[in-house]
Amino acid sequence: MTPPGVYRSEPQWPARLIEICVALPRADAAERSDLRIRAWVLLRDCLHSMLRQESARFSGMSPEDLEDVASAKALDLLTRVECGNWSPANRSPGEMVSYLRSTARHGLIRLAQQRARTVSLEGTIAPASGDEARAPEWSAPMAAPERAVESGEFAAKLLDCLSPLRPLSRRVWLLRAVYELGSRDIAEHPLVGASIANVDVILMRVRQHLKSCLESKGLEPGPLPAGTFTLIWDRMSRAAAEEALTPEAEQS
Amino acid sequence: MNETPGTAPGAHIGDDEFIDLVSGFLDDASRARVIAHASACAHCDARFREISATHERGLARAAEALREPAVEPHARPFWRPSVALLAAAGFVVVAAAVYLARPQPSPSLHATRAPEPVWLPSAVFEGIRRSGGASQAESLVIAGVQAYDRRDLAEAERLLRAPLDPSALDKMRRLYLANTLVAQGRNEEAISLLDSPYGDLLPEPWNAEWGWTFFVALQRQGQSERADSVLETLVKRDGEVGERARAVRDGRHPRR
Repeated sequence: MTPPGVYRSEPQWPARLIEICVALPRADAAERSDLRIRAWVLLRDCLHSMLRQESARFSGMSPEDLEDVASAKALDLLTRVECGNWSPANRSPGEMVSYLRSTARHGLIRLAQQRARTVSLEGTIAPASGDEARAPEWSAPMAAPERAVESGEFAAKLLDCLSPLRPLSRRVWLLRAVYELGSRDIAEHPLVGASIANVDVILMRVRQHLKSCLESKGLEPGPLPAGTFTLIWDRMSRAAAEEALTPEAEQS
Repeated sequence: MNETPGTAPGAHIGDDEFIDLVSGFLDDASRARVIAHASACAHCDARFREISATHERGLARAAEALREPAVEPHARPFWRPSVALLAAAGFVVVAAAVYLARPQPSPSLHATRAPEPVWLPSAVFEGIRRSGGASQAESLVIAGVQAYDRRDLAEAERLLRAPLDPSALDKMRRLYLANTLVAQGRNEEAISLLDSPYGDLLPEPWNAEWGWTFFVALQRQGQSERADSVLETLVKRDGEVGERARAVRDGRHPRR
């Protein structure tokens, strides 16, 4: 799954996935629940990445379609691990990657076939010319080198505004404003665990706070400048790790 | 793009390494290298954001996706419910039926006056149509909005279902499609379209209309608690939507 980027050494996730799949059928009830979540999320992440690369050869696949296929295929593979129909124990990491890639391709072909049947039944609009075999464009435009300084400043000011908030409020804001999750997903996120209405209220309060705080620093709330996300992710994931060690931080 | 030590010149960070990063599999040195590169490379920053978002959505949806164990492990002994347990289960079912059949109190302050959906204006699309600069996909959205304007809801829905690449116009498409669905009483489908932060990225008055349509759909679907929290945000707005929201809150009739 390496192109278009370059990995300095072997990726870690295939070997980790094999370890989890091998441990799963032997785990006790408490450990099993955690392993199932880890296995499903990891399978879903890597299948989604492969689906995105493969989808360039299929027209009309939306990001939501790819996530749906990744979720379904990840559950299917997990089921097969648990019932003993698929055991990655004796597979190499490379074989695991090939197997998942073929699973992803098969999932896309099936979806395209289902789509073709639906389209012919409904007589839906013909695809726009030039839309064929085009990869979804989800990447932000390239930033000029001087934007690195700008994004660093923006990240610092934004993090400064976020710092007085409770960890839960910061998490909710990150999931909404940066990851674009819906309120239901945020409410059900294992690090949130709030009602949907509560999520909406938290978001409203955080937005009001951020708007006034950013304005006081001469910034307009808006899309993150290129390069900012990585800096925010790094700082917030470190903070979350520290908070996990000091649970009383949630109360502040 | 700025290069960082350890990454080949001209190369971006690959998905494999980002998946390792969000999964916590990288050691400190590798993590620092990837962060340094991605924070200086717009392409990698954007891709990392997408992969992180997919990962977080997976975490959020894991509990629901895995709610029913796919299969019980082989080693688990076969379990047969006792007669007493079956009787207890039967009692719970009957008690639940009696409880659910009782007269229902009003679920929310605003439930007795569910507001009407408001027809959205189509003037914003006139400029695009007149300029002749619309692509075929955009033309479908424009045709969908025209059908919506004629109140031909079935045709509007058919045309507005064609997705576009992520853009402001695609967010408009979602809003009009959701409003079309609310007008047909399909509130649950509208909620699933509107329950996202895309509305925040639209200019006014579409941003506010997104919130209003969401509120109406929630209220009509009986999700009163959520509807009330959305209404709380709408009453603070200026303009017509704020006025409508305050009218609902104060018990006056909302304007059409």
